[in-house]
Amino acid sequence: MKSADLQRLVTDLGKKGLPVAEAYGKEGRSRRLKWVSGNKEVQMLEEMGWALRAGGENGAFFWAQAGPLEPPSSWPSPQGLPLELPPLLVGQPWVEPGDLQAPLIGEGDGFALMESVNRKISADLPGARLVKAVLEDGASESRLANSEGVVGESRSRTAAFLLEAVYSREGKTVLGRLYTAEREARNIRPLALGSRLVDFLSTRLEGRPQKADNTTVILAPRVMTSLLAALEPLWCGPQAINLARRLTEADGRLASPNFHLSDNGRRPGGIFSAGIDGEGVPTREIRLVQEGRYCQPLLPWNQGRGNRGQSSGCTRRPGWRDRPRVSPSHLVLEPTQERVPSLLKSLKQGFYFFEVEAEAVLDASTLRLSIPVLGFEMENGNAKSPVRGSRLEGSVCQFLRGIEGIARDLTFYPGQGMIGSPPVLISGLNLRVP
Amino acid sequence: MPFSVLDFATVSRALSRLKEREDESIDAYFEVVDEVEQLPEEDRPSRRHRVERGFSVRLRREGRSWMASADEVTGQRFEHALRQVARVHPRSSLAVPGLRIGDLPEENLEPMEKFPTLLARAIRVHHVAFPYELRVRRHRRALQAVSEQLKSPAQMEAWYSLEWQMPWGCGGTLEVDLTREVAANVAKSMVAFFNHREAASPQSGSRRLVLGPKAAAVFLHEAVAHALEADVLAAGGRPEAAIGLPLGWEGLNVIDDPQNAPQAVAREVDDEGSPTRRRWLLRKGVVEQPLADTGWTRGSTLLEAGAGRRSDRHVPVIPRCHHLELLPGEADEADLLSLAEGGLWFNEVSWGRLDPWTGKFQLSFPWGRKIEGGRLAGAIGPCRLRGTVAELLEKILALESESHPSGAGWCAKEAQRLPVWANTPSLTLRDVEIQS
Repeated sequence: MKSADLQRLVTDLGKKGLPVAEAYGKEGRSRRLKWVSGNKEVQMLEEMGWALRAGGENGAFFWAQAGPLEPPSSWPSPQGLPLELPPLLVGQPWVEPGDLQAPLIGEGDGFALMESVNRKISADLPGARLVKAVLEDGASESRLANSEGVVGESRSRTAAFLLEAVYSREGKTVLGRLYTAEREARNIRPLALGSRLVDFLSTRLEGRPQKADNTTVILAPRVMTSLLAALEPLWCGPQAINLARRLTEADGRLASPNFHLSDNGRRPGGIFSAGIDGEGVPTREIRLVQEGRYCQPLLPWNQGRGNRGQSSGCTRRPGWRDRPRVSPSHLVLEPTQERVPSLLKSLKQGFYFFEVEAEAVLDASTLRLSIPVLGFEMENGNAKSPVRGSRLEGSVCQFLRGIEGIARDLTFYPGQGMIGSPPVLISGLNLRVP
Repeated sequence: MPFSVLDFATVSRALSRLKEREDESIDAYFEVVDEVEQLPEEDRPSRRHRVERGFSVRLRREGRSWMASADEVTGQRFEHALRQVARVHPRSSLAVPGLRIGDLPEENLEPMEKFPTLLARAIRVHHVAFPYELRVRRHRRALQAVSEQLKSPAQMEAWYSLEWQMPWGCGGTLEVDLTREVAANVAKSMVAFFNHREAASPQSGSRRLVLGPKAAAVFLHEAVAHALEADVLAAGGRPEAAIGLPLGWEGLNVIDDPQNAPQAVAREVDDEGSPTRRRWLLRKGVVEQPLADTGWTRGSTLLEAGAGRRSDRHVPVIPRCHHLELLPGEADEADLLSLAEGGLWFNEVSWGRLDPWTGKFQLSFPWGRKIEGGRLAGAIGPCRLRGTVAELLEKILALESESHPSGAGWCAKEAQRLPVWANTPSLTLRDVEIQS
């Protein structure tokens, strides 16, 4: 499926009374390795499909089809509102990363990765074992052409790794689950993942629920990125501006002065880095929050006007079946130079949470955040006792304005796009036992 | 059917050429999928179509399986997929020249186009008005399994999915037809949701409950059907070890019968081509036959295949129920309510969840009603039912004397979303933990 084929389709549609049209095609191949309680499955997926958004004054339709570009004998009638497509916009030059060409991981190497994790957790935590592992390593190419003259191509490469392990002791069994993503499977570090699972399982088994009011916590990147992901209504689309206004205090700040948040669709080394977004609009870095003051949300090409903010290439399309949707690509809370030990030392009494038992939830009506966490009660910088079965709660304002310290070790986790955060010290939150 | 042009003999011959030993198996799966979605007009575009044709091949050898899948049905792609799973170059040719499958026939989308108007009228009958967004989808799926020895009957499923979103929550249902009756039932659900939107949640504690047919269907789907899938059972040991174990109240008879589903979605064979059966998951509260696919029945004399399902060609088959039946009891509605006097009644469910490792189970209700004087009384707000599967199934006191088709919905397991259907009576439970 070449760009020229997509352009020809768009031109043909114009002749058939559908002057506004965008054709998108994607081809990909991936290898998925699955290990469940000793049984091994290998899958080789070759995906190919294309999608069309087309219409005119009388409305539009969306058509997605698997396989090569073979249009149907007739198109559906356009309906609803007219379609709008981005014009040709020129962005900064884009240099594709060199590692997109790397071959997919082989069967042997992939299962060896899983076995390394299993050995690590079994050795470090007798009674623990891996029960499921799924590794998917894939590469894809997408192309786009629209009636406004936009023509674009991009390539991507992603490896995703899911691990589930159990730990049994004294008649009790707990489950731990981790999910991670890298550009290539070869970048996955099995021993580090094994250590994470060991900490997860042992804390989950040995921990006790704890309650605390108005407490101080250090949140590891895994926890903080889940919170940032739950706050997506604050980061995406023009409607986020009203929400930000509601949350901004009299001093003009949404968050504490050390809070700087940005999104960058072409972040160097980023898993989802690309020169253009899902509609062919050039990507770039957009500052969302600066020194705790809300700058703007991510705004697609037709939403950046007046004092709303600047538009950017910020729509993502996970696959050819999907319509483009505003979403972060690499949402980053900027780190500082402060080391984690010094952050821990400053914590006289409080908690350190390093994992989540489920993702954070934002109650849209009360604007309160809640997240079930795993970690330790801390005293004078030392771990006192493990904690599980507790929810960290507070208003959005309490979370964002209570940030007193930000460390330097930036780590990314997959969510809607990739989300990166360093460890963060926050005061004034509550710990509840559900 | 799109598979009338498929050259089964050539496909089977190509598959058989890969087989090296008797204990190996190799099969192919072809599918055609068609989905039309109608969205609110403000969504651009508000009409979406998706058409897919593709296949997968699977080889199982010495405890491992290899699968290759593609989005184009041609001889060249098929041969390439066979070589991918074989991983060596067989001496004989794997060519399947001229391989193709057809399209699903064109369909009249008028029921789907008219449904929003039917629903709006049905809501007005209740003399209320509220904002909502409605998504209507038409789903069609045709599939054909072929092995080196067998060509099973092609299968076709067609259904609608409805999703509504209101400022106070959301809901949905699956239906095989979009009739006035369906519109009336959906309107009733939405109006109740609107009327009870400010109801206070009940106090946490132990209560007696009556679950209406919809809620009972979700309860059984999570607590019984998922718990008795062979891969879920395997998490705690051999799946066969569950056979003969008492799991619940002796009046509990739970069956998965894909052939007894509504005609438009009834299944003669599963997604591997294995014949489906009237499978007694629980007979008088005792586990009789877990849900299994051929991956779990190989090497087992006790498990039976026929419950293998997959959401599409790019994912493996896993055990899942299709059409769950709870055989009715002897109680009428008045009996069920009087047994739960002072308790709570629920019929709508937001979600259900089972932790296979601990057996812990949760069901979330958006609203319900109190039971006072043997009748449904004031509304109550959101709350959750919590417990373990074993405890909850022992707490069933009575079943309604009539079953109702209800509780059809999407089941997501391992990121595979599939429609599931049910036919259940209402039931009463004692001493269930309700959390506000």
